[in-house]
Amino acid sequence: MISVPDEESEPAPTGESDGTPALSGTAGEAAGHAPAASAGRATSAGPALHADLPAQPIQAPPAPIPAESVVESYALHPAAPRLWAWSHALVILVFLVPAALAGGVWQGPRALVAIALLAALAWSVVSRYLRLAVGRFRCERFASGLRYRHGVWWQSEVFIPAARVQHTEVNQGPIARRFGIGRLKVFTAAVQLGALEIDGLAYADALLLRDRLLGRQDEAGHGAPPSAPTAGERNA
Amino acid sequence: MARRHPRRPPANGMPDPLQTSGLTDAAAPTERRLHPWSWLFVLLTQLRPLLLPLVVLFVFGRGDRWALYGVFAALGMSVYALVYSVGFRYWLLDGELIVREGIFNRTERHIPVGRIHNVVQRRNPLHRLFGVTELRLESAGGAKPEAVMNVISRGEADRLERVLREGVEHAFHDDARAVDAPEVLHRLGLGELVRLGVSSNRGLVALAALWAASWQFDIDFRDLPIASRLAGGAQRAAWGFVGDHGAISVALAALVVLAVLWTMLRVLSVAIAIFNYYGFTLERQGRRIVSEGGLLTRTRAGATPRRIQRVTVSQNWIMARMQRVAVQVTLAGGVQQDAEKESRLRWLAPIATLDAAHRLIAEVRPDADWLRDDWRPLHPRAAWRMFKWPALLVTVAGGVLALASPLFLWAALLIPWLWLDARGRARFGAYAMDSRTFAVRAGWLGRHWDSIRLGDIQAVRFRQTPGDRRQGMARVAVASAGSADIVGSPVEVACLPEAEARDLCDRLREVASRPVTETGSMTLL
Repeated sequence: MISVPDEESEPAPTGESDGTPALSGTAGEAAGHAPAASAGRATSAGPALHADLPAQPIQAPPAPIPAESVVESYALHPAAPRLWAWSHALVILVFLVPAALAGGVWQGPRALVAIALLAALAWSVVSRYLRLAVGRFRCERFASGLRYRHGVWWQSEVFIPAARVQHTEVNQGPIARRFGIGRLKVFTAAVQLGALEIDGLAYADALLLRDRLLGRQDEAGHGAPPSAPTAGERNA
Repeated sequence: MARRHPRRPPANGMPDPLQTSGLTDAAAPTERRLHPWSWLFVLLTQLRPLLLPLVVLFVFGRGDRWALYGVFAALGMSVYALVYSVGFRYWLLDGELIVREGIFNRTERHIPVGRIHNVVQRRNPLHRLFGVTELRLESAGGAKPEAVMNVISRGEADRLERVLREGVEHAFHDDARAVDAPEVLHRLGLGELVRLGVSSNRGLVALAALWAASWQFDIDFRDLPIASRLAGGAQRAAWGFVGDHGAISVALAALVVLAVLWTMLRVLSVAIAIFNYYGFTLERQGRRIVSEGGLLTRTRAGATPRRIQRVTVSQNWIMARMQRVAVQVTLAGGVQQDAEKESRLRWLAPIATLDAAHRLIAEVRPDADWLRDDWRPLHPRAAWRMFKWPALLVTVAGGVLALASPLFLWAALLIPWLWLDARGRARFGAYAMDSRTFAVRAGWLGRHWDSIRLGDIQAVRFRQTPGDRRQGMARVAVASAGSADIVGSPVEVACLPEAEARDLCDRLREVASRPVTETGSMTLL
């Protein structure tokens, strides 16, 4: 039943630096659209509805920032999708087993068939979601900070400057420990966006990323690049 | 209640001319105690969560065995309060404020004076009767205030505040007044308070709270004699006014009732505004900005302008008619408890004329003014994006409900309104970024402008919903170290063209990752 294919969960080769082109070279388009929109605004500003709001000429955007290159890219642990799949399956089962029992007692086999179909549907959604999630996962460290991309339907990319990191936390659940998977939480003083939580890294990678973020790679003695085999990969 | 404690000067407190850096009480450290009436206020603080149920129990006579338990609990608490407030000590030594408190667990906390960022004084009518005040000192972090002095005399509180402001050497000289003659930045007169009340919906909020409370405690206000007489009178008056002439008069009566209700709500709002902000003044005292106000409970809260993380200028429709805005700030700091959040420095001005607001912002945070000429617009199709989903929802829900009752077809009237709203928000929505600040404005009938210093940015987020992706749009948010709940959300601009959003993100990332010293942020200091 659990069929998240492992070949799809294979992480992208680590150390690649293709993360930045997407974030650069787009100022031209932005400039292209702006004048048209500003013309629309100039005519539409209501008369004296807000006296402090005269229609403003929109200035041309400043020159684009040169893209910063990725220092390290941290891959998803190969076993992480499997772990997530199991935990989702567990949730589905927790809801469905009692439902199946109750339905079977009251309505007979037809209810069981309906519930099985429901379970299959839920599972197909979950497995598709996980496949997409694996493809979306990207965790990159720049000289200036950390960028984490995640989310399948609601996609977001959070950037935290290394200089703003206040403290970090690496933890591991009992099952994740068997796989060698860890979760890194990065805290800043920002309350609104909360702590950045990166789940599914190899535990060793999580520790390494933490040390690098805190600027301790040398004294801590972690010289190995993040693509070195970790406990989790050996396990898998 | 400054009294030299004979028992012991603290062991490390031997007067050492090389060590004493000025921030020490006189020559030798003096232990100070709370005001003799402190136990009463400690007790009341302890009882506060129980107070409302107790009042309800006694007033509405639904007492049972629980009331008795309550009395026992209160007795225990008063003993605790007495012992606690008698045992509380604090003193100043070598630039540190040292607080010793607790009965079973004694804590002695050393708070470097420079680390105290927010100082709050609160005085309710009882405090004012006894001439005392509750003083709360907050540092940058932590879930709790560093020290709460519940309560000390007013003179002592003023002295402490002055010490924290400029060092102890001024605190005992009479010319200290001259040194820090406060400069008034903003003041609210009665006329402005009335305007504030008229433009606010606080009356509605209060009514809702009252209604919720009536459910909570199972009180039917219609049972109260005053309420029933009022309601009866209003009913008779309304019918007498309209007479009995069929449908038109019913409609007229409804209008009259609505008008009366609206007026009453406004009157209530004005009353609440006067209660909360009577005598509101904002002053600059040395480096600090201090606001004070309130009719019965007077709250006095101060902070240094550098602690301000975000300046929000807002204006609802009625305020716009009156050419007024409200200016509020969000401070850095982790104190999360509701009661304490309420009393921190929040308003530079609950209401101000446009000129006054400009002047005020120019004084406190010159880079945060909302009048700037570099606003950049949203995506050309932003209005459609904002309109589509609400309209779809209304159409589907209205259609389904219309099957049940044709009355729901009136929901169709919402559609043009939604379009106006979406168009208005798309036109007004914009963002701006210069070398010092990032600003976002949003709204239609009610509008607000947010400004945040680039050096205060703690995180940058680029986000796309499925709808955004289809339309080639994205949203960009930045977070500062301010506590979130006052204004609500991070500073976010939605419906940007995707490419422009990426570019903006890059710029924000670049400035946000500059060293702290370069951008002048001192959030973490």
